[in-house]
Amino acid sequence: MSGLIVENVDKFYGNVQALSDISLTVDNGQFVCLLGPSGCGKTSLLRIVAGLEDPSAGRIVLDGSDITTTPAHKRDFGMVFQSLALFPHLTVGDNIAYPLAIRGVPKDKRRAEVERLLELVHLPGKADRAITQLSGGQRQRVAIARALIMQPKLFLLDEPMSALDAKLRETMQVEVKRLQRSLGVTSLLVTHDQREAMTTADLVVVMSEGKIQQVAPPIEIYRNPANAFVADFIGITNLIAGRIEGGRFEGPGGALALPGAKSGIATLSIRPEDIALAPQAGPDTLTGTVTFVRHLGATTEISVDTGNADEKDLTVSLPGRTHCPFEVGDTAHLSVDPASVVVLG
Amino acid sequence: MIQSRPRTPLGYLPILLPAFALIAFYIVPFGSMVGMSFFHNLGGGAYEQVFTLENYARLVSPFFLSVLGTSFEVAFLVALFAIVIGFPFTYLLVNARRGTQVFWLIVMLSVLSLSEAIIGFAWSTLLSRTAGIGVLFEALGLTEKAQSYAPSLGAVLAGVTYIAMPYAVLLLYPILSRIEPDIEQASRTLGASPLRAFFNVIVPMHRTPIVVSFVMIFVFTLGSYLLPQILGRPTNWTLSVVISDQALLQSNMPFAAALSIFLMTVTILLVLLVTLINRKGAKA
Repeated sequence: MSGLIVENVDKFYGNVQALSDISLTVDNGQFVCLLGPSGCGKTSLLRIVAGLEDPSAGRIVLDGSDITTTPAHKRDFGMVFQSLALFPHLTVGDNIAYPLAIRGVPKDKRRAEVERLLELVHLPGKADRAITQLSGGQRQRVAIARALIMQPKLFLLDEPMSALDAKLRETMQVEVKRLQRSLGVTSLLVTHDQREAMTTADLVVVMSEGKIQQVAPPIEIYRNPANAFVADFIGITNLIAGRIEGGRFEGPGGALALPGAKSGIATLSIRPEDIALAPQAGPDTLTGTVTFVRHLGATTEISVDTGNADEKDLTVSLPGRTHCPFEVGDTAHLSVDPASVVVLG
Repeated sequence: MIQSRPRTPLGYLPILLPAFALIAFYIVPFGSMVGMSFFHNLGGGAYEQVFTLENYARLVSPFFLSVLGTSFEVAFLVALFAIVIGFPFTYLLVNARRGTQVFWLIVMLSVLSLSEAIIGFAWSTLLSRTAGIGVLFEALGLTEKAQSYAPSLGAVLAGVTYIAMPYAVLLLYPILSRIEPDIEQASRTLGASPLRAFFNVIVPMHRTPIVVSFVMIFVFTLGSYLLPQILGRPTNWTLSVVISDQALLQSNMPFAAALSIFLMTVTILLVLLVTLINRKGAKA
């Protein structure tokens, strides 16, 4: 068996259970994202994989051997911390060469390796700089280079991009993904930013309250969320509770044809871009009052009150150049392509 | 920062009080000590107000230079021990639970509240032949017969280090408590055992605070005059002991003043040197 296997891991802090029965397989060369809101246990899981914390129960297996009790410094992983944790008293080069120095690699060889890594993260010739002379994005690259210099068996990233401004973050996400692909290093990234997960991951692991909610490729997570939490957490969605009877859904605001859907009480998840405007009320339309119109340029977002539970207005997203005939207070008829509707139990 | 000067003379009023205090309590006594060091001693506490260099001439003798050497030796070793013990201790302390931290900080503060005389006699009892650790060593079979460990240089060092330790901890505590735990963990994920992470990262990272604390304890220890007398032989007496001896017992104020100024000058030069070396090292 090659790759990382997390087996039935539990983690308690005192009486609080941070992780319950987590099992996960990461194949070699894969980039996996642990995605979830803060406090969902994703960082605990990463720290357990890194060996910085012990699981209360369960095993961590790497390439067939149990490493649950192997101390962090013997795991040969590379980790990038949220704070980056660069050593302030060392130069850029000495920071990157630290793992080599610890292992007694001779100086001239270290120097060559550092230059190779600096090329790789687009910081050539910066080896003699002090850490304080670098910008946020450059420090990020140094932290990545330092984690990768040992050609680690596992590349771990704990929300490393969260301190960067939005534009730089997107650039770094693309760069991290390219780097990972070219090196083929098995990677595990923790983030609460779904765009980051979508950009970098081959496989997204959505977590909430210490449990795994869904494991799937990014687009699968978006198109086929396993439950209401995933649907709501990934992107924007409309959750509509109602009843399915004989291939027809009846809920607040009207009815929809859902051929082949199982009868019973159900919640539908419909993405804003999958809702269209209908010219008039019909058998398969939802009807409501327009409460807000937002012209965002690329899209136009309309909020429609259909009497949905918790006063959650439906959000409809139209392409920006579509004519929006509505003003607040108008009545809107909405139609939905049944193929785009996800029925949640 | 406010750069403009007060427009009226009255605007200078707020600095009058501190200026007065500084002059009355620091500059005047210090000036009179400088003056005193140039007066001629008549004996019995009397002196003549004439300018003479005889007090300074007397200083330059093998005896006083060796006493100065002892002072620096004691201060250096005590500062070294206090940091070598205090730094790892403080590092463990800041990583301990809140309750443990409070407990040890209170212990450190209570040590500071003890009088130096009590500490001195406690140590001299502890190191004595009849009631001290010598008896314990004999009972454990470590030594054949109980022996006394005071007075000696070791006893002086133990006593003064005991007083200096809380200073070291209280100086380092606020600095070490600001370390991000990520730093130590990062070095562990990069292949350093916890011990190597401590010596390879944590210690070199705090080079400047360590040097500053060392200098402060060094200077603080130079002024210690009670413990060397209680716990040491006359050969272990520091310059501070000799100064208090000259001033209080021999009533030779001019010579005591000259000794004080000598000690102060050499100390300032040493501190400057250390600061300079540290700054150079930090740049390299």
